[in-house]
Amino acid sequence: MKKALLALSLLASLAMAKQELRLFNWADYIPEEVVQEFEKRYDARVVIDTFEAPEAMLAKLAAGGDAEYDVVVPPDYYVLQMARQGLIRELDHSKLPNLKNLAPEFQDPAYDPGNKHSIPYQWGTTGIAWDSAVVKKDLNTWGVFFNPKDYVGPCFLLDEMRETIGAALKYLGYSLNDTDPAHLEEAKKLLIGAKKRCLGFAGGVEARSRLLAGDAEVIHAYSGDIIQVQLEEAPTLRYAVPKEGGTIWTDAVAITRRAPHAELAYKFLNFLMEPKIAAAISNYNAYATPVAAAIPYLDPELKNNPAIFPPAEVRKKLEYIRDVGEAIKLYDRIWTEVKSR
Amino acid sequence: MRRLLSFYTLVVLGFLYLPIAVIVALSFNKSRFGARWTGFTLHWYEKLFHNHRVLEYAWNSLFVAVVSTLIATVLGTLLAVGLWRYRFRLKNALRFLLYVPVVVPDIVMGVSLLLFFAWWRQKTGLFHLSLTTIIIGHVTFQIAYVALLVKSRLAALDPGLEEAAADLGARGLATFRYVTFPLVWPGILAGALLAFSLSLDDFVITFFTAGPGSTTLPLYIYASVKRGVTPEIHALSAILIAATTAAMIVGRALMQRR
Repeated sequence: MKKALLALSLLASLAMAKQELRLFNWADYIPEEVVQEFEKRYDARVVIDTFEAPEAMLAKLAAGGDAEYDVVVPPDYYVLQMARQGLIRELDHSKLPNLKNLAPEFQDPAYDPGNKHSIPYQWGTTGIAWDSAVVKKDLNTWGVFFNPKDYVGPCFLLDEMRETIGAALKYLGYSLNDTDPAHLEEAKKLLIGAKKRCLGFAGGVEARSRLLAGDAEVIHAYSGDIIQVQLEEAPTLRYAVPKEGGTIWTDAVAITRRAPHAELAYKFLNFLMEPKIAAAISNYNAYATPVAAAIPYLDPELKNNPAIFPPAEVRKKLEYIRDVGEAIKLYDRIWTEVKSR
Repeated sequence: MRRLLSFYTLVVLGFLYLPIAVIVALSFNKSRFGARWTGFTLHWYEKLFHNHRVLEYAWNSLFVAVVSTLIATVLGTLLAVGLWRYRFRLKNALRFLLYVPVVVPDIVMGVSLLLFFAWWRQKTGLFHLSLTTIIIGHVTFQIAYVALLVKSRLAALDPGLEEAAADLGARGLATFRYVTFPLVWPGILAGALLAFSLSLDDFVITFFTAGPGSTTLPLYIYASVKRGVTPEIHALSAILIAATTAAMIVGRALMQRR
């Protein structure tokens, strides 16, 4: 009995000796092989917890999670806000030599100047998707939702406040970070009209399922969600950024301010920017990688895909969602009014 | 009339079981995205057994369910027996309080537990959100369910039996061991089974009391919805359904043997 106890406590202490990295991420957003490679190389154990919305992630961190988790994956427009709230720490760049692997435009991104608090993880765009077997023409305008003249068939808008109000603002020719109440009022009218014509609002993956099932003909979608299915089983799907412009977004990776295993967290961030690792992540998610050195290792159908790496003339029309400060209340109100109509 | 009745039965059964059948069917679907049927495969089951991440979440769920059920069954049974056997002041108040965890919305329970733990954490440095806090949270509502089921079983019991045992010289503990317990154990078992299944699929209270490293299956499935539920999850659900059905059949067989 005593021996068994001894053996047990020995086992327990061995398990304790292994360093633990606690990662707070979206579900199914990092391939298992990549995690296992990290565990093997640094003799560590990675514990992954998942969130379904950035708001929930922020709430958990604010409730003391910043001392429990080591690494978090916030969307770009959350980085500065989280830094201001003291939830994530300023990065020591001497511990991140692989920063040199990043493409030039990600060395100093607008959402986090100088990568002071975060490194980029994956990036993509938001636009429209359709099935070319059903809709026999190329679509290139947000009008498929907002203008009865351009309507092609049953549609879904994303159930994401900033993305969806942003799409309406873009159609009207405004910035998607516009804070002018009159412009937002116009966007609201468009959205209410679109809601009547369309089947409603849905999450990215649900809308995609409805498109695949044939219930919807056009949907508001994230690039990677569509390309992933297109490459694997539905080659007739199409994705485009409308001519009026769309959203470009980056998911960032940051270390919490009170991270219990900060040293290991730095190793993890640096690891994510290794060329082969970054390529493996992109090959899995079908989103674009900010690591320029990874591009040679991408699957060919991703590397040369304009829907994933948009050409320069499309890049010009893309805009990042920014923190709009107090105006977010206006967005909240309009969103509530649209949804409850 | 008879036809109408059997048709009605079919509709009700379909309403209850079709959604479950869909999950099971999707777990054999080749497609990773689930919207179209692209062929039969066992691939997802194979992948599931190599996905130690998801298995860890399943293990967390099972661990919480087993431990919390054990604690709640003991405490709940003692509570019910105490309420049945003894008279004391405020007995009616206690009996009424028993219903509170059953009727209070989960979300209220969850938030109050979260605040409670945060308060105690500040005072004592204990109660970090983890599997332990989830177990405490589950026990709080499980006790009530176990106690209510055991209580209803006790209510049908003839109090004369315990008196007879006492007449024959049995002390309190012996009476419970040889008379009361054998008579009420189906109630205890039913309470435990209910508590177990309530814990296994609880989402709301778990959501508020979970910390790092304590993701359970329901939490993971919820988080997956936006990024797409993978067929591995369907496969795991199918296994869980099969396992709980088997447990129910065994439980029933045991009860009928008595």
